[in-house]
Amino acid sequence: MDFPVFLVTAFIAALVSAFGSGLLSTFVVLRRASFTSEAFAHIAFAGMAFALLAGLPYGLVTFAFVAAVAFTVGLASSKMAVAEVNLTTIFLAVSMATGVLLLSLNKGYTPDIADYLFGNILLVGEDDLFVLSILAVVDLVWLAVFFRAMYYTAYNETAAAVYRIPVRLVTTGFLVLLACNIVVAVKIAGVVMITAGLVLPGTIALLITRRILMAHAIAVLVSLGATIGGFLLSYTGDLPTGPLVVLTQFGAFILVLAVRGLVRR
Amino acid sequence: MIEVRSVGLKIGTSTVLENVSFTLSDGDFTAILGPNGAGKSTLIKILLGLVPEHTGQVLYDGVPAREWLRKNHVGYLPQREMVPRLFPGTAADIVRLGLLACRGAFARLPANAAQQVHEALEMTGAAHLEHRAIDALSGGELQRVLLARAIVGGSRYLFLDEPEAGVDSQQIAGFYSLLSKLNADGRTVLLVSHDINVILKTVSSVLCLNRTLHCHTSADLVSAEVVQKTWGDVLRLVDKHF
Repeated sequence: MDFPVFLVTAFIAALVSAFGSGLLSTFVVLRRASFTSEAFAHIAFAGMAFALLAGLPYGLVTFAFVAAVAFTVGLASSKMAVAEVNLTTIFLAVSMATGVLLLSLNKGYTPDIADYLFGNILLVGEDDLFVLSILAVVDLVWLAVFFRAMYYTAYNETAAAVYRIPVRLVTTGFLVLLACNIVVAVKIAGVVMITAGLVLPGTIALLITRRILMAHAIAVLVSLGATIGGFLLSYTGDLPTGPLVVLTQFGAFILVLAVRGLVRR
Repeated sequence: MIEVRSVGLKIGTSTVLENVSFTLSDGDFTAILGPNGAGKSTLIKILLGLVPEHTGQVLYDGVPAREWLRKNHVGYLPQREMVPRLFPGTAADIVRLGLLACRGAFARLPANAAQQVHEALEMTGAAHLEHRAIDALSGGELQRVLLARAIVGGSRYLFLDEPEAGVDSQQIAGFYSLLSKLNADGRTVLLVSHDINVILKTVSSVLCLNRTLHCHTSADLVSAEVVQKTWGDVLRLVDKHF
């Protein structure tokens, strides 16, 4: 059976993206960064809309926008009487509103907002695949170099700092890496569903094992497996891919919970 | 040697510490005593470099703390360490952090790392907890594991913040006996405690702190007057033999 080139490209890109988000997922869950991930995805929306309106490179502008907000939140919340999570929520809402407003001002062709919100894997080209692949390698190298530092920072930041883990470097570096992955993957998964790809695999893995290295491996396998499953269902049922990948992951989550429940009895 | 020179800290309009100065010589076994809110834990955190906004200076062997702590570490047992629920780690994994500290976060662990971790846990009476999940430990068990973490790296300095918290009263004597042994082995031990009776029999010197330092004296010289100055009228020193 011959598949169209764009479909093959889209499938490979989805797998590469799944590998990257699977790698990060366990630490996203351990560091309780699921809300931050969700917020970054929504904040990216304003960056994307601005890039479109100004005719600027989408990836760089969106990443710069997300990074700027992340730094602002980190810096400002310690100086203002506003908790970081509340400030992040404010920026999330303002970014979404700004994005919608900017898109409404765009006189030229405006892609369907649904493509931004829910992603469209079929829009992925070879350039995107190249960037995704580089990012997946960066994710792997980061984890290899900073694994222990990430582990102990996720355990307890004060203890990590006392025992000479460079907590600020690790935390900031991880947030930047997360922002990069979100910005790049938003095209595939969309702002609404990207968090699922960053949270569900790690959550499932940590339900299965209490060993950190094993959890990372399982998270990657779950992420890849769900992507393959979602693609198959999408192709055979002629249904949107992104939502099916998320629902496949959710199905795996429910299955693991059910098996755990049975095993405990 | 640790020198603390005119250290102070204000949070908003509130003075937490004011003009605290003292010197700890190598091999000292010193307790910081004072009422709740006296700034004892804050002082320990300042010595650990966790509160950079303090005034004054902290020097380790004549080197500013910030610089010294980049290349060295202090064995630290915190007052309370929040363990994330369902965190994937065993007691041995947490103790291993202490071993990492003496080499740097990115260095290879020594070949006998597992043995060192086991020996540290044995010393604190927690060897049987080595492979137990960290979030399944009781308060007292966690204290022993964290003490093992504090000693495994071989740091010359040990700072302990209320180390007897969560330890059974029957085991407290053994706990302080271990600290005395670690001190006799050459470590400088600084601890915060509320247990004045036990502390005065264990340590060699005492810092009486209530926002400012009211005394730095040997343990057997702590008098009723010193207690009254530090705690005010809420505490009286009573000598009673049963």
